[in-house]
Parts: sequence; structure tokens; C-alpha cells
Amino acid sequence: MIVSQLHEKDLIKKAQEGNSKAFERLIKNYDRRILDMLLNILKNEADAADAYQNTFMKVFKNLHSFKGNSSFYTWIYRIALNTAYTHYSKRKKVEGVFISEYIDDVIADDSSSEDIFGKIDKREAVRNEIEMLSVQQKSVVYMKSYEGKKFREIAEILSLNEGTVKKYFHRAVQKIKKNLDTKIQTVNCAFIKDKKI
Amino acid sequence: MKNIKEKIFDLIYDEIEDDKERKSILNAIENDEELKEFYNAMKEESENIDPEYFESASDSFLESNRSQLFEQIDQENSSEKKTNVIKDIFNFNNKKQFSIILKYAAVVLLTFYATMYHFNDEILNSSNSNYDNFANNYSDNPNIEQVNYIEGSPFAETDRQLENYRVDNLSIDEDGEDLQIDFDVSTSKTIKGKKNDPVIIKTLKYLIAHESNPGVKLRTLKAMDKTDTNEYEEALISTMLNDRDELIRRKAMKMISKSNMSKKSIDALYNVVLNDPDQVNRIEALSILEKSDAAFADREALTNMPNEDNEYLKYKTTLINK
Repeated sequence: MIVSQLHEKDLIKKAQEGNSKAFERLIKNYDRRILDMLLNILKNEADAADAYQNTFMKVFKNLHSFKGNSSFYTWIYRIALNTAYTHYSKRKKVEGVFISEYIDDVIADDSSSEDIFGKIDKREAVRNEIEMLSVQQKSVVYMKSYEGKKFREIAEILSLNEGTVKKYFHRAVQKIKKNLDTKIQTVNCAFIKDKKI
Repeated sequence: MKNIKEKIFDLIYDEIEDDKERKSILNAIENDEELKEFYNAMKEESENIDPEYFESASDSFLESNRSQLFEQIDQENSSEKKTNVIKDIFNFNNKKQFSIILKYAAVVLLTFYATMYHFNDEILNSSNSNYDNFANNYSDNPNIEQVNYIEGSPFAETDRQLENYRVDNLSIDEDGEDLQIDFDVSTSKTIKGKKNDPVIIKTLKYLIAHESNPGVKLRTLKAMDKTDTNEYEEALISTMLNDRDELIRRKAMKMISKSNMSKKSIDALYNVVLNDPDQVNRIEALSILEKSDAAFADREALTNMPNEDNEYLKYKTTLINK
């Protein structure tokens, strides 16, 4: 159900006055997109669920401070993204050794079966490459390619200038391409070798 | 030149909405070899980015999150209402009045504690008791044996001590004569034993089945790997077939391949070849079977895969069928 802008203002006002039904309607208008984003950035349902609860509790508690300087969705999205970043860095700290060990192992695993890695379809390989991006790069790539946002909208959410966002995005895309090319090359060699045997 | 390259970038990533501008950029590309090359390179890069590489949350996942959120908000609202009632009763909205009340309350409390301390000290001295005063007794021995435990309480066993637990998200509700205490409780445990100790084995099996953090799971698998026992076979097969993380499934598969594989393990590996959603895992499983299963070439499952999409698996089955 899409809430018109006029209606949205009305709902925000009512929610700010403590009407929980109005708050529910507001949230239901946006929470699917927010949950999708959290799931894709955090790559783990448990973490995404935690971040979802934290995001909307923050929205609920700080609703009175929303002044309408940006759109309501941008405001929520920014809170959600910051919550996701905090979650991500907290997870890294708490699980410090484990996570770095996990990533090391992923890398080691790639090299040990590199000939196999590239024989998979490209989609799987790209997904892996996106997963290897930094959380900031991943979120920019997500917002641009999955949500189809304009760079200026992403810049507004991230409080950065448009040029910087474009740079983030372009570097991420170049990185994905470079890593894929290396893998495809290795795979082609392995495939040829395999066929000779 | 720099400006036009930026425009090409914008064009490729759908940033240019004006049709005339789009046309003029395309014309510029058409008439300049260097720009054409630049455009093609950018286009190739952009093809690696596609919405299908991302996933969407299921409806049931969204609904469960919503209901949890709205429940939490209801609780917040009701506790806020209680606070407002107290504010109304005492008219605490007047800050000056509120601070005077606070000062009086502090004086009364301090007087009360000073009196209690005086008498408590006298009683202890007069009876020559071995007991420490009440405060020390509480902090040094937080054993809560005397409490009447309610079923389900983590403190239900008498030898448990409060100090070993961390309590989070505490909420206490009063309902007439009853109190309802809701909280999350966690504790740290140390288990030490030989690698083949049944308790160690049981703990590792529990962790691999119930832990959600892939880093912890990986460490658990590595600990299992250090033990020369068949005890983990079931747990490894289950992890290889059911874990949501493809890398954890792969790690379990590699560990299975290093052991003396039973028929159950081999059947499970065929299951991976046919059904694992991760293409790398499927190929890896096929390679392991090729090396270790004597009946590999006769397996009906592999000789009959007409709808296979994976190029490598198709190629392999063609070889088997020859």
C-alpha cells in the first residue's frame, strides 16, 4: 500500500503525537525495502533481524526529532544504514578472531580450488565478489544496482557529495571486474587442462 | 574530454534523464574512437552489476520481524503511560517542585540508612556472631538457594550463583501479589578435556548444529578436524547437507573426504552433486567422488542429468556416458 505524500505527512504528525496505529502504517510502507537492504548488507538473517528491530525502535524513539528536512524514507534509510554499519563493525570486534579467520579461510579455500571456482556460472562468482567488498562499497553498489537509486540520492543518504559516491561505486565495479577476469583466466586454463586429460 | 567521460559514466548508469543530452553523448561517442573504446570498457564493467545478484527477504521473515517490533512498541507505550500517570499524580512537570521533592527524599533515605547501620552494628557486636554484616553477606555469597524457583528459571539449580550470569533486557512487571521478571541470561563456560573426551565431542557437535555465527562454526570444524574419530561423521554430513553457509558446507565436505568414507558419506556427496545450491560445492563433491568412489561411473544419478545447467557438470556426465 503506497501512502501519498500528503497522507504521509498526516501519518507522521499523528505518529509524533503517539498514535501507534499511524506509526505502524508508516513503517509498513517502508520496512520491506529496509529489511532487504539489511539482509543484503549483513548477509545473515539473525543480524538483519536485530538491525531491523534496532532501526525501527530508534525511529520510534526519535520520531519527534524528524523535522522534514529530508524525505521520511531517506531519514529512515539513513538510520537503518548506520545501524547496519554499527552492527557490522560490532560483529567484527566481538568475533574479531573468528571473522578474520573465516575470511582467511575463504581466501585460502578459493586458491586451493581455484580451478573449480571459475567453472561455476558467472552469477555465483559475482555474488562472491560483491561479498568481498567493504561494507561501504557494498551498500553503494546495492543502492545503485538493486534499488536503482540515483547517485545524488545515495549521496544524500550517506551525507557525502555525489562525486565521492561515484568514485566509491566505480572503484567497487572495477574491483569486481578485475577479480572476475583473473578468475576466468585461471578457469579457462584449468578447463583446457582438464579436457586434455 | 574529462567532462564527456563523466557524462558517459552517467549515461551508462542511467543518471541522464534528458533525451537530448543522451543523444548528444551518443553522437560524441560515435564520432570518436577513444570515446568509443572508453564507452565499451565502461559498459563491460557495468554488466557485472545486476539486481539479480541481491536477494529479497521472504514474506514470513518480514512478518515475524514486524510482529516482534510492534509488540516491543506496545510495551514501550504502556511503560510510558505508567510514567505519565506518576508524573500526573505528583505533578512532576514542575521542575522546581520536583527537585525539592528529590532533596527531601534523599535526606529521608540517608537518615534511614544511618539508623539501620547503627543498630545492625550493635546487634552483630553484642551477639559475637561470625556473620558478616548484611551487605557483605550479600555481595560475597550471592548463592540464591533460599529463593523459591519457578520452573524455567536459569537459577533453578541450587549450586548456580548469580555472579556467573550476565542479565540483559531486564523487565519487571507487578501483577497483584505476583512479580513477572523477564530477562535474557548468558554465561561463560570452560570445558577442558582430551580431544576424544565424550563431553568435548558432544559440545562440538552441539556447536556445529546450533551456532549461527559462521566464524564460530569454522573454528568448531577445525577443532573437530584435530580429532581422529568417526564420532563426527553424522554431524559433518548434516552440516554438509543443511548449513546455510556454502563455505561451511564446503569445509564439512572436505573433512568428510579426508576420512574413510562410509556408504552414508558417499550417498550424501551424491546428494551435494545433485542438489547443493552452490555450484562450487557441486563440482567439488563430484571431484571427490571421482577420486574415491569405485562405482562412480556406474552411478545412475550422474548418467541421467538431462536438465543440468552447469557447463562443467554437463561435460563430466558426457564423459561418464561415453
